[in-house]
Amino acid sequence: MDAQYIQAISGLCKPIQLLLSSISLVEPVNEICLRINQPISLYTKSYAFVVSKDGQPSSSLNDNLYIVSQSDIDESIKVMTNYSIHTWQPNINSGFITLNGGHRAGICGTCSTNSISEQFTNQFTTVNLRVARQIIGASHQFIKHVYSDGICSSLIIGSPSCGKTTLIRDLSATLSHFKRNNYIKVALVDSREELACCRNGVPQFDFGTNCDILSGYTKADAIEIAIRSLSPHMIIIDEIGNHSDFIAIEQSIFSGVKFTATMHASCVEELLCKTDIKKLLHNNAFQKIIVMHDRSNVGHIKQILDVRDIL
Amino acid sequence: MMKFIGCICIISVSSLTGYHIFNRYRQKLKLLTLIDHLCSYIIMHLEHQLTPTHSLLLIIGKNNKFDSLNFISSAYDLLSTGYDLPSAFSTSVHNWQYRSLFSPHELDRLISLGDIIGSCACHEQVLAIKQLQSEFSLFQSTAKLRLDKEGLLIKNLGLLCGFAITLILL
Repeated sequence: MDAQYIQAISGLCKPIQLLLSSISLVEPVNEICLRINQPISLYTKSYAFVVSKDGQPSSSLNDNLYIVSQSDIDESIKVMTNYSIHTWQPNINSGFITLNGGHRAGICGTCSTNSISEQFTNQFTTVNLRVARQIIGASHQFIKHVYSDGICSSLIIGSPSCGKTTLIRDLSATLSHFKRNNYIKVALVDSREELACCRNGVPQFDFGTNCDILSGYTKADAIEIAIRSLSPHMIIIDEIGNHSDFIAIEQSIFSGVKFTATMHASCVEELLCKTDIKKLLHNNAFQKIIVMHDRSNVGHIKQILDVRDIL
Repeated sequence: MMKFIGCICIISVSSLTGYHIFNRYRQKLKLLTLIDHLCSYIIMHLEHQLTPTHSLLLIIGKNNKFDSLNFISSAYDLLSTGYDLPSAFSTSVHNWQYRSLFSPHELDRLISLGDIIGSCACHEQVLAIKQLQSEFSLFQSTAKLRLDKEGLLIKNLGLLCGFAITLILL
């Protein structure tokens, strides 16, 4: 098994860690899911497996499967938070914990309200661990074709899990790499803390020397802060979708900063159904639209379109 | 001369034994007061700073005020070597130099502090620690009562016994 997988499972409780460390599969594991009173599920690119008591992958349900208990889930969350659940409470309430190496554990349970009317999640029922893999060079094709005439504002669209986040993560690192001349300063807006995967404030991926990471801010605040105080050449944003995101980009398009953003839409027709983005495209906020392939060809560009051609 | 030296020895040993027992009572009260302060200190860190457990144990371990509660720094060391927190806490309390001053029930309650810290949301931890603190306050008042009643009596009895044995032997 690869190093990222081993690093990711070190966030789980000892019995499950031991069980999963001996597993060998042909394809790399992308997700490990612990659901209370259910077998451990492993997801690769093409298949789903369950795990037996002796640590073997199984493609069917049987009596010899390891069943996840409440204490397995509770202990795993304690290990992930270094026995400091209170410190991680805001993240837990947002539904995730970032582990060392940028691996991300999605968490859900029962949402309760305490005596001072604060909501918090307890009685955890699911831990969904996504193994993070930084694919170095994922953006080379993008840079070669999209920035052939110099950097420009671009919108990357694709269905979920098609590799948009991986692409812009590598794009940030590549653009912000140290150069004496023609350097590019990048501001990476990581509102959902999925891009930089900061743990205790430290990004878990290498973003080069000229990248400023705005983690946890709302997109509108992050864009404003970046333009006012960080003087970036390029602002990179993941998953725009809210009305406020479009307003924030619209207000900043003529500030001399280029934008690269991603958005959920499997094709241009779907994209143009959204009125907010249509307005942005008419205002020349983006010059190019990049359509990604679906899950069958993760991380590959399907089409590069000039915005003027589609309006 | 030999008799005189013998008498002095008997009186000294007897008094020292009495004083030693009295000192154990006093030491226990002192430690229970310190544990009470420890609980307040942990609550303060949790409520106002959301201090991560590793850092919290390190901060307490480095605080001179809590020198006698050195099981905290041992727990930190064990935690850093891969122990889980409840096991680290339990092991370090069992190896603590002052454990013999406490009853098994009191030690159990002390170990349960390791099960509480970092195990749930902040306000839940604070409530659980306050509950534990009230139990320790009870142990503290019992220990104070024993010190006032039995401790002083034993200290004086030690001296008296020494004299009594000397008189009998003479």
